[in-house]
Order: sequence, then structure tokens, then C-alpha cells
Amino acid sequence: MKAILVLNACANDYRIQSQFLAGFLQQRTKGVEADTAVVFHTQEADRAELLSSVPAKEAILICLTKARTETMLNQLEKLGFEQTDRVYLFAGNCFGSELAVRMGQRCGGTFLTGVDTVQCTKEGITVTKSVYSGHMEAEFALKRAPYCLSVSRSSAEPVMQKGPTAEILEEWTAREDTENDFSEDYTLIPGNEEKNLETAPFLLAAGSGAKNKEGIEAMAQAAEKMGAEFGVSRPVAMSAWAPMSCLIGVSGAMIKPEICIAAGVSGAPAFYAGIEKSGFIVSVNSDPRAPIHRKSDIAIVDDWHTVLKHLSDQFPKSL
Amino acid sequence: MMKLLLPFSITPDLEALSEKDWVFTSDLKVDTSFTPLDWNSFDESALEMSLKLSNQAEGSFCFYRYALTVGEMPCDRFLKTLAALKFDELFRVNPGDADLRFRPEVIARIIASFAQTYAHPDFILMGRQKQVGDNACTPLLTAELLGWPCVTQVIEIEPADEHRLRVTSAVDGGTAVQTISAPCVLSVGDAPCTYLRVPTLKDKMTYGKKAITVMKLEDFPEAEVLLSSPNAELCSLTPIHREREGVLIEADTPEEKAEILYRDYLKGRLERL
Repeated sequence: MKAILVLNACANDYRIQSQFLAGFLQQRTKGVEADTAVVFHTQEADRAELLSSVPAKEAILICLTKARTETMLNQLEKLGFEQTDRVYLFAGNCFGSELAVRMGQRCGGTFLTGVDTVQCTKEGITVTKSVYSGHMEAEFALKRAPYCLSVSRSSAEPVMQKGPTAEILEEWTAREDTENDFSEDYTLIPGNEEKNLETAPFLLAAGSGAKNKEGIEAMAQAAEKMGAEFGVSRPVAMSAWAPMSCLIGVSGAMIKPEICIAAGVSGAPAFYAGIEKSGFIVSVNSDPRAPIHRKSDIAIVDDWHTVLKHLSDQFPKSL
Repeated sequence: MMKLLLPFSITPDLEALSEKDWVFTSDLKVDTSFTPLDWNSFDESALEMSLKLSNQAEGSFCFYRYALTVGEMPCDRFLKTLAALKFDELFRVNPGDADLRFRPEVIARIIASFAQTYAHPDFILMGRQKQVGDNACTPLLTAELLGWPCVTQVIEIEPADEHRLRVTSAVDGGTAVQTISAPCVLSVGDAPCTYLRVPTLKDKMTYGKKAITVMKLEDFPEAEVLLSSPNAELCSLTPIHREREGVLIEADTPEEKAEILYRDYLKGRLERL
């Protein structure tokens, strides 16, 4: 079955989206071939660079004056859905999941978010995705085309595009209509670029076992002393003990350091999905029944505060 | 007066299930009946954000809140908490035997029909995702069914004036701030410091006994008709196992354990980084 990829080059993670969808197609699909990519971009974008990253033979380039999902949806609608026997694959970020669902609904097709695999056979199309907060994998048979799917961010390894540069099938500049009239004074505040959890080789991940903001600060200091990047679980970020830019897990960073120390975390699947690709996982938790111990390579059942203090003392100052 | 519709879900505490509890029956259901129930964390944020709006408005504007949930009788305990927190009207739709775990289109149709025929809200505030189905679709579908815009990953709301809200949301690469006119669906994401407040004993006594209107799925024929023809049909469920070796470092003191960890397991690996 032919797949149409939908990419958002208005966001600064365009390359990651492209590489991730290329990896997903290679590693997590059967019977699916990327046909065309729809690329939303701004006027400032370098077209040659856009096309060189596209993991498909042809590209439709749509230039937006404002990167708004309501406008993107209207543009996708204008593409028409007469070729219904298609899979539309969207990146697993905010925009991808939103567009997949809303486009699927508008065209009377099937939509799912956070898909891990796609398999197309003569009998039909099936997909798998995690459910029950990551405790179970569900397989679904999809009944009605087109199939609009956003992919899980933890499902595949990114792949660099090595094939020929995509050819432009069509391109136009989208004129904004009345779709954004509900919104005034739209201001985009760029995120904190300093945090680079996803490329850190060594990371300390802190959980709600820290008990309070002071505990989290003590862990952050231990991380700094060890030369490790610092991240936290959702309950910690939701309690504002650490900024959201430190969040690890399905709604935050999906990390794959060589070494990850998980201290005071229980090991809930939504958090663990964010660290499961780590090369070596150490758990430190005083509860011997905490699931994180079974999901780690090395486990320490003890008070995280004392363990981290003495562990950081072991590190030479140059690290 | 600004009318707010707050659909919310109550969810079993899945982290309370042990490894051996993750088994399913022939109809592909996991028995979670013995686990404690809790607010869906995203919906909880939406409910609390709606209460903060009143605090921020400081009496300048009024808000009228409808709370709506789809679930069995145990959900009434949570609706009573909302009554004590001075939510104005409380509704529960009893799904009967219908399995709605992976049917966000049915839930969205119920919410949209309720909004169109009864509540006529200015804004719908709800969490982005349910824990069991992990569908992350309901707010988006509700917006599509109503033909309304939708702002996703909302993390902060303030009143702008009597008819508009100032909305902050997480977007790819940063944060967006905008003033939103009604009608609109606001899908709440990871919003810090939005745990639902606890009602006072006095408010529980004064407001907590407000009547809950219980409706049936049959009261929403457009939703009921969707039940027989799912677009995505559940075929199988498989427990996900993510075990690693889990070698336990044993020693008398935490200091010794830290030394063993560094010497035997980390030092060499750190040198190779």
C-alpha cells in the first residue's frame, strides 16, 4: 500500500521528523511504500534542504505564512482524498497526532495515534500500539480507508535519508482564510534549547521518591557533580519541582544515553518508555517491589540520597 | 457569563496492578475492578484550571460549569467532589454494557451532542488523553464534530475578558500564547501545579449533595449507532514485558553499595563515553 508522509518543516525538528518516519517505514512497516510527502514550510525555508530530507520519491511543498494546524488541516483537505486506499503517516509530535486524528475524521477514514507497527496484506491493514498506559500492546484491524496514523516516538530508530532528492510534484503558498479568526495576538515563544536530554550520553533521572523540591535540587546537584544530564518523571514536573524541559517519558524526552541512573522512580511504563533505549540502566529505590528494579541492569535497594551523595563523591572532579 | 463544559474520565490506578494481574478475558478485557479509581490526570488539570479561572477573574466575570462523565455509579463519588467545589451542573452518562475503551469517537459524539442539545458551552475544557485507551483523540474529535477550532497541549488559561480566554499551550519547539474567542475546545496537556483542590468540609456539607443527572447511552442515538461499526477493531492484547537483568547490589551500607556501583559497573563505562 502506498503511504503519504506529512511533515512539518515549520518546526525546528523537521530533520528528526523525516529521519524518524524513514526509520519507521524501514523497521516497523510491512507492505507499505512511501509514495509522496506533504511538507509544510515557511517562506524562509531552504527548499533544497527540505527536499534532501524527504524519505519519499515526490514531495508536495506547501508554504505557510503562519504555522497553524487549522491552516494545515484546510490545506490537507484541499489535496483531496479521492485516492482513499492510502496510509497517511504523521510524525509522533504534537502537530502530527493532531493532524492525523482531525484529517482522519474529516475524510471519513480511520485514525490512530502513537502507532508502533503497520502491516498491510491482502487481507487488510493491521496496526499495533501500546494501551493501558504502556502495560499492554493492542492490535487493531483498520476498517475504513484512508488510514491516518501518527507514529509512536519510541517505535523506531531514525534513519538518514540516503536516496535521491525528492522531486517536486506540486507546490503552492497557502492563503490564510478565516480558520484562525478565533485566535488573536498569537505569539510563539521558542523553547529552552539548552536542555539536550535526547543526545546526552549519561543521565540521572529523578522521580517522585525525591519527595519534594529540595530533594530534586539535591539530585540535580549530584547529577552536575557526576557530569550527568538531569531529567525527571511526570509527577515531578507536574508538581513544578523541576521545569517541563526536564520531562522524560511519553509526553517528554525519549532518551537513549549509554548510562541512565533512575533514582526515586517507580518505573511506570509511561516514564520507562522514555529511558528504555538506554544502554545501561541503574535503579536506586528504597522500595524492593518497585517495578524499576526489574527493568534495570543493576539495582540498588536503598535510600537514594545517601547512595547518590557517595556515588558522586567517587567521581573524579574532571568528569 | 461564560459557560464551560468539562468532560472528564475516572480511571483505574493501573500502577496498582502487579505483573500477574495483566491477564485478559476472552472478550479482551483486563480486570481492573479491584484497583482504586482516580481522576484522569489530564482531566484533573482541566477541572482545576476551570476553578482557577474564577480566582483569577476576582468576581469580574462569572463562569458556569457543567461536569460530564461517562461511566458507572462509582463515578458519582467524584461528581460529588465537583459539586462541593461548586460546579453548577453534574451529569453522568451510564454506558451500560458498551465497551468504550477504544472508542473515542463514541465518547466524542456524546460530548458533542450534550454540548449541542443541552449545555451550549462557550468553551469545552478536557484532558488530552485517557490512560486505558491511550487514544489521545477525544478532544480533537469533539472539535471536529462540532466544527469548532481546537487548541491542544494547553498548559495555562486566564480570563481575557467576559467572552475570551488567554491560552498558553505547548507547541513543537516552544510555547504559544493567544487570546481565544468562543467557541473552542481546549485540550489540556502537561500543566504543572494543577492537582484538583480539596473541598472544605463546610462546602462538602453545603454543596456536596447537589443532584447528579444520570443519562443513558440510548439518550445519545448518534453515539449509540456508532457502536456497531468501529473503524479500528481490537484484535488482540499482549502484555508488554520490559525486564532487564536487575542484578541487585548487596552490601551492608548505602555507601558500600555506591562504591561497588562506581567501581564495578560505572567507571569503565564512563571511561568509554
